Amino acid sequence: MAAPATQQIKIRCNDEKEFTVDRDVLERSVLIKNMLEDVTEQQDAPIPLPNVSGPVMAKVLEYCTHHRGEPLPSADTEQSQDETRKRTTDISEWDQKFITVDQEMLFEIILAANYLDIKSLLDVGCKTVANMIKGKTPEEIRKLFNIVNDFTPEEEAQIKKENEWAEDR
Amino acid sequence: MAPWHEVLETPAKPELEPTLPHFYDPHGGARQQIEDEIHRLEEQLQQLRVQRNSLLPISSLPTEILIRIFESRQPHEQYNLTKYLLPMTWVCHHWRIVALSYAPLWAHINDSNLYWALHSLARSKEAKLTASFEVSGKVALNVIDALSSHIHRIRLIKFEFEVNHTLGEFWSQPAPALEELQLRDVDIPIRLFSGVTPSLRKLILTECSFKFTPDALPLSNLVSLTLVDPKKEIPIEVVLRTLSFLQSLEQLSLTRVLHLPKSNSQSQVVHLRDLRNLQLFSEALPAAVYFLEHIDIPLSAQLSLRVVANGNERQFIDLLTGFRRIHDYEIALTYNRGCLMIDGVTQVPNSGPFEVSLYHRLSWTGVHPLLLDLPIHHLQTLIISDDLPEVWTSIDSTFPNLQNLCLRSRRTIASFIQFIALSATYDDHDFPLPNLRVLEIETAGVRIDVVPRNTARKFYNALRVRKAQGIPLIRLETDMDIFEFPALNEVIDEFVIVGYR
Repeated sequence: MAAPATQQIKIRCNDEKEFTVDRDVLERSVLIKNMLEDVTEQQDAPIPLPNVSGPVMAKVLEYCTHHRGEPLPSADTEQSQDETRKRTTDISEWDQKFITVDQEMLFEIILAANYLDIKSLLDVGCKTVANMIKGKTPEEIRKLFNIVNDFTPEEEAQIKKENEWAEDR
Repeated sequence: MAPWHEVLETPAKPELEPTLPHFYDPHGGARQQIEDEIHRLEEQLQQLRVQRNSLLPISSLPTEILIRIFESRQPHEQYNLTKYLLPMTWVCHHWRIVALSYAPLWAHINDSNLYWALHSLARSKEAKLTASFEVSGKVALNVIDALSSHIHRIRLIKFEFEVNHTLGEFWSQPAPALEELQLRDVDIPIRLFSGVTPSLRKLILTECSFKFTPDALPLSNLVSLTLVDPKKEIPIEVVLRTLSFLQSLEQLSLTRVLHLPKSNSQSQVVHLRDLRNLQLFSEALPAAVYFLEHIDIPLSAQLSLRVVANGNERQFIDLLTGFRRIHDYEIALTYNRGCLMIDGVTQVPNSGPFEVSLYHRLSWTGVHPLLLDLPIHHLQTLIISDDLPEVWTSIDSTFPNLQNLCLRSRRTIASFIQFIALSATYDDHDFPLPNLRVLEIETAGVRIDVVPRNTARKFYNALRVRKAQGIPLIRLETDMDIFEFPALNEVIDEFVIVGYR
């Protein structure tokens, strides 16, 4: 039987930070939703989330609260929409503002969304990174993420060849 | 152009082999040792760089997320290999490994560069392909030629350019994985893909020449069929007969396809029981009526009709009365310079709200019986984009349930204001349009000076009376301050001036 929408659920992050959140907000996470459905009796102990820290969870909850009540992608629609969704980079204005964070936090949010199974948030994160990359040269991308060129000489030779063909269009 | 296997194996630059004679070299061994040490250290350095990169925040993202990022693109963008995908593979060792090992990433063939097309085909391994070309040219044809040996794994083909007979081999092979085929300006051969397209669900043929029979085209499992401007006329009986074989059809769109039968031969009614969406665009009205009379589709199917009526209002009425089921559907009408369009038709339970747009200068007497033939009393939204000043004389009886009114013509706006103003001159009047809640006046920045100030004042008073009667106008939206009454917001809950100030 569905629990009342106002039911409060406690969660505990890996840094012992605890949150008490409305059930419908938390149920944006498929992982937590499934956990709650599996538990038949009401439990007072907080749900442990060993892969998410307090500050990241706070951001995730901000997202879930804003999007509460929106329909979750069903299993049927998920497959058909997945192709289109993951291959487009359009992000709503609110989401864009929400995801304007430093790189470390951005990757943490993506990882948390992946772990908690919040597809829409994972999309927003991936699209944001894709937008950061778009139109940049490999050197610019390296600079952006502090990556150094670590290619083997063989890879370098192959890339040089590919470059020549790409320029020879 | 070299054969493709030669292209793939072409070295970056030919190098000259030095043919110097051997000579005595006392330090050769030591130097070799140093060379080896440099090589070892370089390898170590490269390994350290790989390790360093693996400790970066971005490297915390698992492979599947990195792939998801690589796959993202703007909705309108083609999957641009050289501008987007290739630079990803040139960033670092890890990204390159990930990108090269994920075959579906390379399965979009839309680059007319043969070298890259061949590389993509090789890197996509056995992933299902999409082949999309919008430009003509020899190179693109070479790429399509290279695709011939991969037809068994093509999922989508979209050719939007003239394809000539040189693609004979391409068209003649079985295409078991093909799900979607979109062709423009193609002379389609008979027995396309040797008739082997068990997965084909969606077919879009635009300005193509083809024989519309189940033997000639891969139609049997189609769910969606769109025909636009076929190069050769297809008799309507043939259209209907062929459709009778498409039992799984859910979406059908015909644009300039239908022609009235030349003889008096009668077609059988075609049952399309799964049809959910039917669009007839720019079809001649009599042919459209004939077609509609000869198909049996579920009442829940959405209809979208844009039918050329050649200014004949009688034909329009014939369509509505002749096509009996019209009353089962929600209907929106657009009447435009001799061109009747029936648009956005969706089913509603019994009869319900629908929207009417009148875009053309019509005399009210000409329209009146027509509108009365429809369940017009359910109308909730009316948009009038052209001059139609006479409309208000019987508006109460015609549109008793009107809630939203949008006026886009100076004369119509002026006459409406006058009409409302007039209604306020009698104390015991019934306020017109008692259900009207939202009024939108769009003048596109053109100043309306045809409303005398006195009339505008009466209009304001009418709104005040209306509010006192407990039926206030909730929202008035206009693109300019046409009334110059600062107190207007006192009689309307929401007074919005948008744009063009």
